[in-house]
Amino acid sequence: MVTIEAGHVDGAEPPRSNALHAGFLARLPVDGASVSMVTVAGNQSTVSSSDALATRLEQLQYDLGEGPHYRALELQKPVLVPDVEAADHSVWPMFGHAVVDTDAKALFSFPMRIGAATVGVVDLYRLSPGLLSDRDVAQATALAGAAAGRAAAYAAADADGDGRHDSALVGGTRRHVHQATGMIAVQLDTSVTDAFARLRGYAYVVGRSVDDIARDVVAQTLDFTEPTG
Amino acid sequence: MVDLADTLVVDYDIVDVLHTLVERCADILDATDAGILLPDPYGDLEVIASTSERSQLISLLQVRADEGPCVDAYESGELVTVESIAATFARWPKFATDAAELDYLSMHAIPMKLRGQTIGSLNLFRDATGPLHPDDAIAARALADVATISILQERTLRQAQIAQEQLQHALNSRVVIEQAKGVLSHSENIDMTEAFNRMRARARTTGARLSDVAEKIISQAQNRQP
Repeated sequence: MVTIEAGHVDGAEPPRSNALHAGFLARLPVDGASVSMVTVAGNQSTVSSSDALATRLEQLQYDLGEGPHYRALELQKPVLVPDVEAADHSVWPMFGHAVVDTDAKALFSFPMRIGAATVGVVDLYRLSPGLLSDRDVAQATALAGAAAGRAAAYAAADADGDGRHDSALVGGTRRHVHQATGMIAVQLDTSVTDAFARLRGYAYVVGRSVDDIARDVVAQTLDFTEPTG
Repeated sequence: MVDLADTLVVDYDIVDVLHTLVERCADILDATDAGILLPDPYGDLEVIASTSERSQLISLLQVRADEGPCVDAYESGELVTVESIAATFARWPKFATDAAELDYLSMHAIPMKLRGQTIGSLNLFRDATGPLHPDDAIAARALADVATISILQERTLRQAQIAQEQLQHALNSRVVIEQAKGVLSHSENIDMTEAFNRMRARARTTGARLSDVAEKIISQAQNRQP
């Protein structure tokens, strides 16, 4: 009996997350990559990141809820920003304002699809501006499709597990953010949806990341019951 | 080949694809019948597609008898060509007898291979004796490769879809569970571990799923307000 390996489904050890971005770095003219999975309900888990800048770019977009990452999800098509400084940032104004302060000079986001469903996004960056060739775009699209099953399996195993894979480099399921959201919902007598919006809005106003603010809420050093600001 | 290639890029029914493929094989390679054998989850070869009940019958028979060129091609990973089935009576008595009853005089079994692994066999049955022409052998190899790719793509897609369903469930549940921990920890003034333990205890005593308990905690917290 021959078994063809097509990805982790259950039972076996899940793939190591850093293997998920490695193929993109090896085969494309880019300097960094992160891989995030999403559900239809909009929940997200970042499962792989090549370096601190890839993590920063992912976090910036998560904090602001906009950027090429979200645009790729919305359009279900690749979003290519070959020159960050010259680009039109009108579809992601806050992210556009923030990204020019980073070292990323080009951004490319590719949806990851399984059949007809978009299950995640691969976010790539480059330290110098420049277009991806048609061949690179086709290659990245194929790689994103090929990695989708494995990435989904990894994210599912990670969400099912004890969360030890959440780290400073890889956001994972951001458990502390959801815990903080629950706490804020009680503090403000509101829905979890509104509570998360308040958390995100507060982080933006004080110029810190949602991750940081959430940790303060969970540590009870920050309480939304009090007037803030 | 164009309609075969088309099916590779969209959602497809693998059995339908393989049926089309064996029909093309029979046409192109001048075979009376053609059939594809794949191992079932227990490792026993079974017919996944064939041009007629006639070849289905013989394939099933030879698998049951555990002998014949189809089994040999699968097990050895080599092309097995039988120019005259009648001449193989000593080697495969049951196979030769069944084949003769169905008027097959020659047959060729092409292993379906991927990177050294054999995943099945493509079998051609003819009503005349004689070798497989070298050009036909090349075409047969190409068609076996198409069958292999189709099967692997279908397996990959199916496994990926299972993974996607697992992701939906696992990630959405995780988010709700963490939110509910936050709700409980703040409203009951307990830490996250204790909040989780209470939720789990509630799930066990009520027989509900943890994510359903979590959903309830969140909606109750919201419904408390006027």
